[in-house]
Amino acid sequence: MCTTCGCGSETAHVEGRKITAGEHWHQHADGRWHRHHHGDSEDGHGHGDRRSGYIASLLSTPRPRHEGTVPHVIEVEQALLAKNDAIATGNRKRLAERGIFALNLVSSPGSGKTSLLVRTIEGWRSGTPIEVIEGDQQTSRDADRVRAAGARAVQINTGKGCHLDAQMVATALEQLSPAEGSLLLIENVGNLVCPAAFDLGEAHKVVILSVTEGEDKPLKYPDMFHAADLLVLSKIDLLSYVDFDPATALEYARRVQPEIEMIPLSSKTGEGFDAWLEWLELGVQRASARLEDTIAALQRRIRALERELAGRVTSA
Amino acid sequence: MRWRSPRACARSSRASPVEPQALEFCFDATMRGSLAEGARLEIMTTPGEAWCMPCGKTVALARIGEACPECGSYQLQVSRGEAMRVTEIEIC
Repeated sequence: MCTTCGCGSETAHVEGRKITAGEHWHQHADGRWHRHHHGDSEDGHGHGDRRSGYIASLLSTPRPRHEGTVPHVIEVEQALLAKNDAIATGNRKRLAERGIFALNLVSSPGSGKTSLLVRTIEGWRSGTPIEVIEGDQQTSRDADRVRAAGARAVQINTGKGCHLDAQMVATALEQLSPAEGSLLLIENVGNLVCPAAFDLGEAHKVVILSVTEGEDKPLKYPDMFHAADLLVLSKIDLLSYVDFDPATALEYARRVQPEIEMIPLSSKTGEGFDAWLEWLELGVQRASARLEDTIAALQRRIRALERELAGRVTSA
Repeated sequence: MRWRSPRACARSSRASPVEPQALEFCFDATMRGSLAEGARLEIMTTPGEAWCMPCGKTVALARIGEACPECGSYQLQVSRGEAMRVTEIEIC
């Protein structure tokens, strides 16, 4: 459930299949089958129980006391999105282990996210593959466009949900199985509010703002710009037709995220793409370099352990 | 066996992306038909805090996008109040 607008994600699908990760079926001694989530406690098996969501799972954890007992306070101190954050941490670890540079592309609908992806795939000169996870409420139109441009893609349909969450991405990653050292672009649902709160395990959130939207969007939708590390200013070929000042947009974005950088570009004319592709290339190189460092460190550790083992065998 | 007026407490600030009203609305709907039907959700609002780079100290932050109340700069790093936390649950 979305903590911002309250919409549900129970209707989410990856490539047309319902998301059931974290859920399993088992058989009771009386022969009945039922399913539950791994996060559920044994007490909270809840046959026919309609509880769902994080708070409900917390409430199901302790065994309720009989009436007449004194109130019993259990300290929890957990972030409301702790479950999502834990799955996102798992995604981030899996991506790092394969040296994959993952980006979460967020914006309002119609800002040009898919056009940006298509031109990026067409203009990508690096030898490393690009893979795409597409998030939309319905249809596989965006994944089809991305595949036609030459990249592997998996479509997530969020159904009644307004954003991608870490579990949806974990399921999509299993299906996509991105190549080692690749660039993974996750196109979130067009929504400038809710996706800000959900970590997917990406290296950076990249927010796309088109010049037709108005330069004050960072002030009107601060959470999203606050969560992003890069602002891609899209549709700059239309700058001469609209009253939009890129410097003001960047100034407003830096009010909510002082470190944010901006790359202005046009997916129609290709202007500004050199800087964007260079930024992506640098990220891919860094992710691969980190993986090589990790492997080198593990190999050093193996050699050290082998020496230690050899010493013990000799002395024994 | 039923819980008598159980209670769940959460702490939030206006710097958090969580909307308390949406959470309250969904909390009631989710608890309906469960052991915790009728549970109360109490949300405590705490002030947000940020590190102001020009001032070199922690200042109060009402919401993201607002300037430092002392120097007017926007060079702020949010240090507290970005997430809503479930603090405790009470059962009977």
